[in-house]
Amino acid sequence: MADILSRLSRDRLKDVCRALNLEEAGREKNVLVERIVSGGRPAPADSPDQEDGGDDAGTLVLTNPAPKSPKNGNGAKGVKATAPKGPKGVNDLAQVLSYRHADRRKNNPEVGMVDPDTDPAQPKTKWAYDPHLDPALQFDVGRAQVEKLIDDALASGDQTVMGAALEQLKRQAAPYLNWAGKAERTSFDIDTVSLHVHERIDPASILTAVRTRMRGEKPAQPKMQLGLFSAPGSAPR
Amino acid sequence: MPSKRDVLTELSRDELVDAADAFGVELQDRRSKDTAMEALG
Repeated sequence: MADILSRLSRDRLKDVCRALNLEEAGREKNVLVERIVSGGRPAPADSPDQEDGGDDAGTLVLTNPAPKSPKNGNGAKGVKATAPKGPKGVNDLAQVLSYRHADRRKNNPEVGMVDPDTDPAQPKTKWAYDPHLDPALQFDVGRAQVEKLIDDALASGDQTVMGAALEQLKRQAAPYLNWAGKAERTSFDIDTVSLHVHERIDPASILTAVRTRMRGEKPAQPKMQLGLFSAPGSAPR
Repeated sequence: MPSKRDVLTELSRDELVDAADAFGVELQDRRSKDTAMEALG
């Protein structure tokens, strides 16, 4: 019976639980299957489907082994060749350990946990230059050129040279557009944005990636065009 | 505690036929849900 039920999806198992007046809470299929087979006995206290992550956090906890089920055939006739011929005993299956972390990473809310209510818009932040910086020695190249021009003209004693120097000074004094530093101000306001990354932990993707790496294979390339922000299927996030 | 037949009753015909195929159970009539339930029950 458990092998038959393990072929169903989690949502379908919940439907069966609902139809049989059993508790439908639980995120893992084996918990639902066990509940249906056992007739609705309460799930173990250290079941991974509990949200509190309390005392067992960060420890390895032996849970009910998931029944090994063949790939979902979806009605395909080819399943028969690869499927097991009969139900296996529970003792023949590998034991599954649940590892849970008590610590939570910052700024990594789960998908759907952030909305305008939980993460409202913040007022603008004012960024200003520090007025208490130490003075720095500056050298005005243009002024040095003007002084050199005047000194050379006076030293020559020639009226023609002095006239040429005055014309050059007049040209240098002409108005011009100074583009450098035109956007600089003492301070400016910027929008305060909430910096976080939506975290989506997909156990199926993680298991696929681990299995692929253990085999030493390269991740399978998707055959369809991915979305702009979608990750490859085998990449754990 | 639901019986095995109660659980099988909640499954659709296609799910029962798939399970029968997966476990190598021969079905006389693949169009009948009762047949699949009898074979798996």
